Amino acid sequence: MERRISQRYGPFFEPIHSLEREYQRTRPNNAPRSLVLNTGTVVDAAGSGYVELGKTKVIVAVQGPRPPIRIRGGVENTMNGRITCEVVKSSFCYYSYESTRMANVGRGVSEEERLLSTRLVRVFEPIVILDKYPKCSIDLYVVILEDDGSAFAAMTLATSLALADASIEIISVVSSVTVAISTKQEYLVDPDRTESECAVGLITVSLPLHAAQLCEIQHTGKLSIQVWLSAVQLAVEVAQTIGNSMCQFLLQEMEKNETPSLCS
Amino acid sequence: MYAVSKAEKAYLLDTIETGTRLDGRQLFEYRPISLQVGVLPSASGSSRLRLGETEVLVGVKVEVGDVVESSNDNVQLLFTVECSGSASADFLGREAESWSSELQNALESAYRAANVFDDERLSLVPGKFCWLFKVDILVLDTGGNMMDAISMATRTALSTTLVPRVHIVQSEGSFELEIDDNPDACDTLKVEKAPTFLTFSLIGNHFVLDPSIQEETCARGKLSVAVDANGDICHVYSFGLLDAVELSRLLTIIKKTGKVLLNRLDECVKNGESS
Repeated sequence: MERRISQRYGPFFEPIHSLEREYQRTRPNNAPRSLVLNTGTVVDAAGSGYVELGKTKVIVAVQGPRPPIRIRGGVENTMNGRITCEVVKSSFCYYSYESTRMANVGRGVSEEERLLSTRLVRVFEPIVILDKYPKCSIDLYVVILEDDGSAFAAMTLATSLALADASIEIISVVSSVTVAISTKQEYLVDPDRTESECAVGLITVSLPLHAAQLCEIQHTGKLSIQVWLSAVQLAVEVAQTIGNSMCQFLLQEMEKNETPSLCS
Repeated sequence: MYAVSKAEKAYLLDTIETGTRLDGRQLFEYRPISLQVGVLPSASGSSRLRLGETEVLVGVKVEVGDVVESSNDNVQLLFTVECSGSASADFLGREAESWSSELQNALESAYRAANVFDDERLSLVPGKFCWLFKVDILVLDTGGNMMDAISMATRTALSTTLVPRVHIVQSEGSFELEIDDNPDACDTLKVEKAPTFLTFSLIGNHFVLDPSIQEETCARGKLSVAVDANGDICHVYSFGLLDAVELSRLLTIIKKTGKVLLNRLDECVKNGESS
């Protein structure tokens, strides 16, 4: 039995070439899809966030800081906290051969989900101030409700919201965006599923908003160095605008929830 | 699990600050690489590579398989990475799975992007049969930087792989494949387009190429880039806070080093020696 991760979501009802020809992007190349943000979606969690990027929908719940549930050898004695993550793709998040087969077999953690959770932990390890939570674990539970491209970017945004909602100390809000390079060498910001599949290159960049640094870059596809660098540049710019609107949203939410102080 | 004490870590950071490393290397220098090909007689192609303390064994098995999902590829590559439990305590239990799926995924995506086997000679019956190259990678020992060792070993194993000549016989609408009677009638694969990975660790404020296991433990980030001989990027994965300005500088280094490394590998295979 071979274990493979399929990057393609097919099979479609028509071959990919014809999809590419007929497909028309309805918004400008450098515009992301409409963004919906929400916090406090999950009542029982310490903090939660919900993000919609077009049709991509992701919900994240944060539990903790709390004592680790599953203690691994040696870990409980560390003076730093740790982050664990569990990603679940809903069985209806996209139509694919893999997912239909999965539904029949009954599912454990798939390889793709495991990779996504390691990636998410790695993005947030330098961001969360783990020194402040010794011997604790911060657990992230991610559900991808629908995946119409750029799911990892949506996951990162939602986790940022959830961490802020849980009042966990972080050095900055993390913003993230995916850029696809189409066969015509166009840069498509925040591609949907069709665009990601037809792309020759797909770059996801995550960055903390208040530091001139990058948290994570993942790129697949073959590109020359020049093209790649300019695509990263574009991704950084767009991620910053997305991050700014996310900060505004968080400030609004905070003002809404602020209870009037007793003294005045 | 490998661990370093606070004093060791401080010493390592100080050394790197001065521009050298604990084993005397420069910041952008590889450890000595030794290479053996044809180590597994039953495989179609194999190699064993040692990069410092890291040791990997790669075997390639060539089969004819059915085409899946209406793809037009002549060749389907299947990578399996297995991290031996004897190599490191990290590879016991579920940790091993996440390691191997990560390495496997990176290799798969880099080879898919590079479109390595776009070769007329490898064409079987398009849309019906294709070549299936099963690449089994076994990590025997870890001394840091598994990704680079694996990618180099995979490339050399594929470059020594022999593909038997096949005649296609068409009868009543169905195809039959006949392998040439002469067992010596084999083609070697062209792997010029195959990428190799170059991995940097971010230690303090410096990037170091080909990190050893001590350096990996002290690192706060990683940058792994797959380049082919033209210097095109096939796969990038990085984590940890890194400066965006550094990227372009590193990429020029990557392009240069990648080219030298690939040439050196090809030379070694051709001359049958190790460096």
